[in-house]
Amino acid sequence: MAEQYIDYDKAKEMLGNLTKNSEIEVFGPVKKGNDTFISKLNQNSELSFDYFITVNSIKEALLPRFEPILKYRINHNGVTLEDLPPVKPLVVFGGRPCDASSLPLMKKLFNWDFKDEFYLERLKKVIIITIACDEMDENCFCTSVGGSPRNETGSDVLLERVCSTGWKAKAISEKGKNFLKENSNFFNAKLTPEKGYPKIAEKDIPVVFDSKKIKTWIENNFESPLWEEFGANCLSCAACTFVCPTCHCFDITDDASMWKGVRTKNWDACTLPYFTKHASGHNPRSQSYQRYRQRISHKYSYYIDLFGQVSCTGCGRCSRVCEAGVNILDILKRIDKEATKGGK
Amino acid sequence: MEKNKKAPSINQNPYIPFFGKLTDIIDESHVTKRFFVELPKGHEKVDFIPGQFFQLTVPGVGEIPISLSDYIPEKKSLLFCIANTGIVTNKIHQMKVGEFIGVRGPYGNGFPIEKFKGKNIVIVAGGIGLFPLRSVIEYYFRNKNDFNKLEVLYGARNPREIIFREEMKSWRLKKDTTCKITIDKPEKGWDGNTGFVCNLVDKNYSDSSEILFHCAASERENTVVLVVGPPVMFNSILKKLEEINFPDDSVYLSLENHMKCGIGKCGHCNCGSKYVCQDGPIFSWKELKTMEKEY
Repeated sequence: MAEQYIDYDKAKEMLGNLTKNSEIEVFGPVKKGNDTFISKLNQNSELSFDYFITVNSIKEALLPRFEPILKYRINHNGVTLEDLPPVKPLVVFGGRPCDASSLPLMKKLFNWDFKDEFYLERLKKVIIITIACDEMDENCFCTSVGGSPRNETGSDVLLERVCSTGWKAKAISEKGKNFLKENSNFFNAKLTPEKGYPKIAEKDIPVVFDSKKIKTWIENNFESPLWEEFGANCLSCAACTFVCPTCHCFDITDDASMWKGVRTKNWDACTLPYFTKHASGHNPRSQSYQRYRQRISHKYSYYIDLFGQVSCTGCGRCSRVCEAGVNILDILKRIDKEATKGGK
Repeated sequence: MEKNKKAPSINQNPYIPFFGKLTDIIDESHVTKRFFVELPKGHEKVDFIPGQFFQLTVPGVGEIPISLSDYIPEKKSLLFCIANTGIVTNKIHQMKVGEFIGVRGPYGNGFPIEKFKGKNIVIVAGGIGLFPLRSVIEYYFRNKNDFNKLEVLYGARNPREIIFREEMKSWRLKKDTTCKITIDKPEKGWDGNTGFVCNLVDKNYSDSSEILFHCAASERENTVVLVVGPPVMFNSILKKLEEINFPDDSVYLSLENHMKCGIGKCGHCNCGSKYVCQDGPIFSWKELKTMEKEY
């Protein structure tokens, strides 16, 4: 097949067209103030393609902030469960490779032992259109956790910038191939690749720590006073976890009137103070540094024990969004240094 | 991961409970009650291991994990003993016979009861920790021929909070069974043991555990100790067991981490690389030694 290109106008037209179809949910990059967010699109959404990275991740589309898992009616003689609306097919446009690569990671969790069909069903029905990176900042570290600016993991279609207003499209999966075929009238832009694109290459993002060393250090240093130092500034606001593509903790709550109700899964975070509070009042992670230790340890040690992979894609969002200046990359580099120094 | 392979009990949505009718509610202590839940058609048979728990739903209020105190197959009902501590349990305490409660489960690993066969069982319970252990005790009596002696060491805060009073009286009368109670501080009208339950496993204590200290060493090697109670209780019990070199793979403890989903997804009960809801809530002391102290 001939090479396929899409430019800003055609991309806008395509997303606008898809949004018209009420049977599909479409997510794309929308500008709010100076920042761009992955948002659910409607007819009035103002798309923006000139962004370095969105503030939030595409997790928004696959693990919604609030998701009904049960709908019920309370009668005099019992409780009747009602059907939930079926999961619609999804199109997610504009995530980065560090977003898409979180999907196979998350699948491991939602697919082990008991299956969380809500996530898995969405994953089955989603088309992930990723835009390869052509910019980076000091918080990016995808190459240190096995990613790259053009990593294809988790994507169905990968777009690579060839000029200031358009991309070359590459189908990664069967789903992606079909999508390009079905929407070929948008992927037929006449673009001439310009010199200087893509602006960055894999070597521009150097590997700055060894995740194996970090795991070993974490295993041996649960009680290390360094954790207090790492978590000292943490405000326990959980912003880092909400923008993280791989943080997946959730709460389950009921919202009900007298006769009917909905039970929802809602985003929760291990960095929030009451996340682990027992019914007795005892809280095993009552200090903010203990919660921060959990966040790092879960990603860089426990998740590897459980599912064989680091649960971090190196997107750097948590560092960008932290109001208190807690920088995960600095911490990981420091752990790497400690591990090298201590030999453990 | 292959362990704990169990199909979701209802259909594809693993969060769907079934609804059972409350057939009886009995006051236990001033903060605890017993609830008998009738299993609806299609759910009469429960594949249950003592120590496992269920997620109970109060429609419109929420869901909480509660360990099963007993499964009574002949009555097709489940017994839950519940303390009034939070929003959901408070609502459950207000419920009346005939109302419906949502149930999903059982979840968790339960006690490795098969391994206990032929052995003495020492049960150390603090407060409402005796609730989940009741299922072990009932199992013991139902399958008495499979086991050796049973000893229940129970500590309550005060006489008003003692649970299973009547049962304990009847347990005491049974063959091979001893049952000891202590309350935290001396109180008027109480002439029994006082002090924490760990004192009952103290070799210097006049009324200490018979199986652990008074029997021959061979008995000790043929004994398992099950501990359920607040985490602060664990340390003192384990210290005493350490003093007498009790083997760490024969002690089992139940963790009570905060849980939401019960199926290893939501992350609340995460303790190191274990999910307490799936890998636990029962852990051997040996396992616990390798885990991060986050329980």
